[in-house]
Amino acid sequence: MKKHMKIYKECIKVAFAAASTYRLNFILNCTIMLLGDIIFPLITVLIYGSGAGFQGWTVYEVLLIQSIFTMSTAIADMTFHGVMWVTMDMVRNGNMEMVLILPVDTMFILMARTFSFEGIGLFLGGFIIFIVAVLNVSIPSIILWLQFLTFFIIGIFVMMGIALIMAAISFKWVGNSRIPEIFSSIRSFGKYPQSIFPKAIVFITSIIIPVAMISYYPAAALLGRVNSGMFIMILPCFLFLIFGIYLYRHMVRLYQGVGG
Amino acid sequence: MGDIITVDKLTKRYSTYKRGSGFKESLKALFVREKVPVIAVNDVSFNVKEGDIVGILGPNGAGKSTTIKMLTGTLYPTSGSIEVMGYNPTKNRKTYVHQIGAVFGQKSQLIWDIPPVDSFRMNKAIYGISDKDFDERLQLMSKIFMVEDFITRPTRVLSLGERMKCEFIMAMLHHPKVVFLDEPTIGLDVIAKHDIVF
Amino acid sequence: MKTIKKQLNILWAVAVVTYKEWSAYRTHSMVSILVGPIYFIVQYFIWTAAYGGRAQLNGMDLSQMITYFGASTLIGYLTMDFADWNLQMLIRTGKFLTFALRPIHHRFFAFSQKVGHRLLGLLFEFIPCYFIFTILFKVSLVPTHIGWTILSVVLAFLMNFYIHYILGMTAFWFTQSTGIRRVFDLLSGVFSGVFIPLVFFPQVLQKILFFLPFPYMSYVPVMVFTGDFTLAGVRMDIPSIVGIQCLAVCITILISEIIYRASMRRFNGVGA
Repeated sequence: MKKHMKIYKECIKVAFAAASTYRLNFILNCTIMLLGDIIFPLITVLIYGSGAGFQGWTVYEVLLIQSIFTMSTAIADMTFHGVMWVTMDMVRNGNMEMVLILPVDTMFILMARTFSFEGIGLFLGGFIIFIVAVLNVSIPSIILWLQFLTFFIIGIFVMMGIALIMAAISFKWVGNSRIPEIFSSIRSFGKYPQSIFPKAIVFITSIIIPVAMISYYPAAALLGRVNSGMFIMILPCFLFLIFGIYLYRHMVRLYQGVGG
Repeated sequence: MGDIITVDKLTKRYSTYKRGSGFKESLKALFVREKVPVIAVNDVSFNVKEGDIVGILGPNGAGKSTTIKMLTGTLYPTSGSIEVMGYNPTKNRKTYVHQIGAVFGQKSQLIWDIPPVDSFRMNKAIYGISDKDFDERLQLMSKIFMVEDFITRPTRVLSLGERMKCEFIMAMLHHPKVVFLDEPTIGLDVIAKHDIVF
Repeated sequence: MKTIKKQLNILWAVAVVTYKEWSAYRTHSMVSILVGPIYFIVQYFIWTAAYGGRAQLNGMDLSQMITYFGASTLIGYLTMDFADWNLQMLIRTGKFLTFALRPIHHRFFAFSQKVGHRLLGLLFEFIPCYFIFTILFKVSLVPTHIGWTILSVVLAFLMNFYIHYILGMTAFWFTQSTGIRRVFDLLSGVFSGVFIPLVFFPQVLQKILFFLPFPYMSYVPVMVFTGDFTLAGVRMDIPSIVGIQCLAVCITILISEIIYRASMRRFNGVGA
């Protein structure tokens, strides 16, 4: 465990060094991402501005869902999303061996090595909108905040599961750059109140690929709209993550067996 | 036989930034960076006669690749002059590169996922080689380099030696008058090196 | 005449090579077909819920909205490209050198690549998706004026290419240009009308959009498809807007040429 902490710390330092070497671009990227992030919830505002809306949800409540989604994405981007890109890249170029010979868990080292500070801008953007949204809904009690935090963290687990499954698929479907897009489009189901979807889709988004946990449930928690069903949904999320980890490790073992 | 390449007082200078290692240096680098001047090629002059095979030897960082890049017209000199086949490589690029071939060991021209023979055909179109010339030269070079067995298999399944042979062929299909080779034997075993040179 | 024939030869050779390169990855096309429909499903439910029984929003009724997103997806399959990604990869790995060494204009090479790639897209993405939309989802997708629609889609094809190529060239100037591209993708997604029809934006913004490349990449061909073009409160007939689209493309080509020359000067000065 201590060794892992040390490795992770070094990787963060490297990420910082990389960011400061290409400093102009880093600052540019951060600012640009910050601005770019505001665009997306804008669509929600535009929909509501034209006189339409989702029944039972005010514009701020929907913005709450989407800002949580943004913050979750930012954290994922900074910490583990890199595992997907680097795996895809390495398998495609046959460089995986260079990582496999290291005396540390492959999944861990790839995630650590791809730590990046660039998501900071995105996180700040999401956070600002989050604050605006929270201020315009009834202020949640401590218990609701705790529920929110629980769901939010579980939601990040789901993100990790998705990233690992995508990385695992790239062992088989080498160099398929559209895999992330598929998952991105599946993830987008989690950006909206689940009430707009038919039961069949809600079943998928809460149990099979539980993207609803990423931002919908945390938002519902803050708004006091939690039902016991949502707590039960934590279980599929854990299973999902475990499945992702298992699948990834399995594909690495297969890769080692075949020799790439 | 006249001179086909004339290089006179060739110099290339550029500046790079000092990058520290370690956390403190990186933090400092966010605000202030030291410029470091580098002289990559310093007042080099030489002639090459038509028909010559010339090798430029030197330790790492001597400026060999930089010199070759300037000879191929892909890097502009700071000062000095180059003349190849009567051309200034930095002017009339398209006409000039039509008549040269180049292999840069680290930078492959072959397309990864398809067989080398398909990459050859693409170059055939780019250099405007006639069908007859193409078929003749491909046959000839496939025999010499002994690549007939694998030019129809995707590049990514070939070994490094096999790929380098295909890179050579690609550089010479269009019958160039001058061929530049930079690190062409990188990664090759002794026997493969021997085969390529002879 | 000879040069044109030679250029066409090169175009075809590169297109064929790219087609082969990508068809080596059958799964790529299989997966690609799913992306469009999944996004479409999300949009379908969002808008059906958002309309909530209202007749019109900003001059569009629900069935128009659904057709809008269907056409958007299909046209996207025909016009999308990765020219920016490919170019910046070549520059970062140093492989761009291999193009400077050959008698070919890299931009022409990249364009030929796109032709080959989208040909594959036509067969394995556009056509299957068209069937999924019209037969499975029962969305009506017949263009009102087929000739103008095709022309507009071709112009959008060009627009997408030149804009992405300009983006790719930023890699000659900045060592890490991924951030610029990510934001551009987001901006172009929003302002080209892929996420929401442009008529939803404030009027002032809509007026400005006329002078930006984004609408010409997707919104214009999609609206030409539906046969009814409105932007910034201005209703135009189809030939006029396609004419303006053509003008926009010409300006973009000019800008890309200027940047290309400057980039080549820089590339040759700084080295690969």
